[in-house]
Amino acid sequence: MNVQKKKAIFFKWIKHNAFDSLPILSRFKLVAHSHIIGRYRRIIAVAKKEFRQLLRDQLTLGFVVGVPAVQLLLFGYAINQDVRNVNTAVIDHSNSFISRHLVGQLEATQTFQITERPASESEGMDLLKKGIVHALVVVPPDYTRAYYRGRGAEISILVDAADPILARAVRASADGLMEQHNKRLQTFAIRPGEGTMRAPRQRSFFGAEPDLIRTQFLRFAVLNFYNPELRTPVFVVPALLGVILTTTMILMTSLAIVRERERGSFEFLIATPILRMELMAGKILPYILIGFIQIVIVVFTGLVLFRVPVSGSLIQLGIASLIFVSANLTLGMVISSVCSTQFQATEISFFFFLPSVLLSGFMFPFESMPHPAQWLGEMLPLTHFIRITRGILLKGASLIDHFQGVLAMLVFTLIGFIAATLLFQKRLD
Amino acid sequence: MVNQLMPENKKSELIIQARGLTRRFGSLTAVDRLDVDIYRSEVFGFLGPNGAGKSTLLRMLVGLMPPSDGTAQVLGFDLPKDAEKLRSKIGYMTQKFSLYEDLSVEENLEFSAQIFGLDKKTKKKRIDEVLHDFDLGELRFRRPAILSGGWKQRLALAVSMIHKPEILFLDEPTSGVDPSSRRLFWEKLFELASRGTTILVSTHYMDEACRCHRICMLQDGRIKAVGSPSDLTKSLKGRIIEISCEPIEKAMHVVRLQPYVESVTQLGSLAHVLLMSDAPSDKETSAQLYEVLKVSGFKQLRSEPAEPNLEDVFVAQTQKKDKDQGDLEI
Repeated sequence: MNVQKKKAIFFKWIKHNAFDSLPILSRFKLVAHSHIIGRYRRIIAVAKKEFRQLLRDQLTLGFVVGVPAVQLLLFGYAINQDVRNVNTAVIDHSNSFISRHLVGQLEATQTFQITERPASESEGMDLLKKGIVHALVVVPPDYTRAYYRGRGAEISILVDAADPILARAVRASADGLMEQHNKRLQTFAIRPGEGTMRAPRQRSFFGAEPDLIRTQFLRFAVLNFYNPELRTPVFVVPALLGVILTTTMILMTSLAIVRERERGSFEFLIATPILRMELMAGKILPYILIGFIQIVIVVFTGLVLFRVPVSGSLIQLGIASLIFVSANLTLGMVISSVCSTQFQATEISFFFFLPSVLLSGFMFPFESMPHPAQWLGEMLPLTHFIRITRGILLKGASLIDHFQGVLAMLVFTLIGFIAATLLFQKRLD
Repeated sequence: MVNQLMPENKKSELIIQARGLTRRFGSLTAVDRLDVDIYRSEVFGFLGPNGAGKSTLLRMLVGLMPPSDGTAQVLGFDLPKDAEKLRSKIGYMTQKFSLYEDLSVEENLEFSAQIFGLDKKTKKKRIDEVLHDFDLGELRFRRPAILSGGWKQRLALAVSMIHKPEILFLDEPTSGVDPSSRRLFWEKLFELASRGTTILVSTHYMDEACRCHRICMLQDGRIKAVGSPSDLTKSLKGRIIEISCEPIEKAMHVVRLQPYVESVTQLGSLAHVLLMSDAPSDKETSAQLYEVLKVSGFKQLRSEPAEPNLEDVFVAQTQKKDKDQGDLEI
């Protein structure tokens, strides 16, 4: 009892007198308190001001809301690696029921669209050269005879391989058709020495192709996971979220300080007691909100229009997006700190966009790039973000699965913020 | 120099002290080894043509530009080392309008108040006070973009006063502002000065310089003269002759060739003749000039000793180089 009472008195004394009896401590406490309040107040003041200006700048506001929607629609539909409707010229020297059937089958693959029927090979080559067609199919005169005799016949398809994607698609489509065709031919003739193993005749139960005899040694069963229909939008839209955020976020903040410089308010601003860090933080805050609006627009459009699946958690996607947005914003601030005109800032921003788009795995499979390019790619926040969005949306991954990517983006943000703060000088030179 | 016009009740405490202040931009020396002393509560003017180094000097004293050489102490803070600590104690109005055109008058004031760390209650009180003091109440929701030059300057002054700074730095605050707005602006400045604010103002208007307690004449980054306007003009007593005749331009050519004449400056239809320091009395010389001009056939002739004004001082001080003084306006 007595001890407790003593204790209570002691604590009461500590509470009331400790800070006052130690002048240094008490000063520290007060200063720290007012310091934090003042800092918070200044950051909010800058953020509020920036937001007001943004709301009054109709063009920029339209840019912020319109660009994501338009870009998503444009790229979502336009970036399509499924090659279809390749303009094709056909020269059918055989011109029989069988050869016409073959041409019909070619067209039925939807890869080819027969637009021209030149009379001769030279005429066909001319069309290819002029780019009127991208493929030239030549059916030889003895095709029909060869077909009935169960012999192989060579059908030439000349492809405009200037575009490798198109060339590969044509080859794949032709191969597919050939395989189908050969099955029928093989019914009649099994060439000796080609195979000793018979594939299980599982499909015969359904009566589809009862007379099929497979002769390959090996067959790879490739299963398409996560995007079974191989639809390009499913692959592209999650990555587009990152690309759109990169474009708008970097560009907007890269102008944030330069604009003050160009409009003359910079001199007023640096003559106030605002600290560099407070200015940076205040300038970034409203754009995080803008970034969030963009995320919602893009994700919503992607889900509704392009039927992108949501296998993982949208909240985790939101968290990852906010970190990614912050990373881009700090990069924009770095650009803004070193530039003296809006033109320069725009230029440098674009200088950053291209590698971001090309090296991040947005355009090409990341693993196929040469190693130095991969190292560069690993330094871009977009690379990590694209992995995360594809992971969360398509594969149902969580942020913990992409722990390294999240960490990389956080480190990028931190370095960017420090660099921007250090590069920004409250001086006129 | 003793300052006659400074308010007697205020103690003359030295608050700005610069020694050997120098700023170079490449090969150009904008400010060249300046020594400046400024006391509390005075209205101190920097007078000089464009390119004299006024803006550079102010920017160094505000702590926005590190000097290439020399030292400056403002309110006891060493610049540029302690520039951040100084910021909340001074107000700075830039030469070019530097507020936000897309924020309203009130929002600009509010932003400034928050940046200077005023708490919510003080902020509201100060905004109301300033709006009232500078008659901006009716314009509080307008945007500066649509205000006239005079009102813009007044707003800029109001914003730079929001945190009650001890020193106010004004860089050519009235350039491009009409005379009546300028007069109102200066009334506001004196109001502030009477309440204890020290005001440093750069200008190229002679009439504004006359209003300052003390002025410092600058040319090519060097100080040409420092003192109260009356002290400065007194130093030229007996060396100025005013002439008027038809046509004045031709008469000036004649006068320039006369003995003891150092320079001639046209003031509209008049001309001020500056005599050399070793000239005989001004009465005698003016009589001589009268005779010369009369013989030359000038009409409506008048020539008599006159009170020197600041422009005469400026001309006298910068005479050696005889630069173009076209920037100086009366």
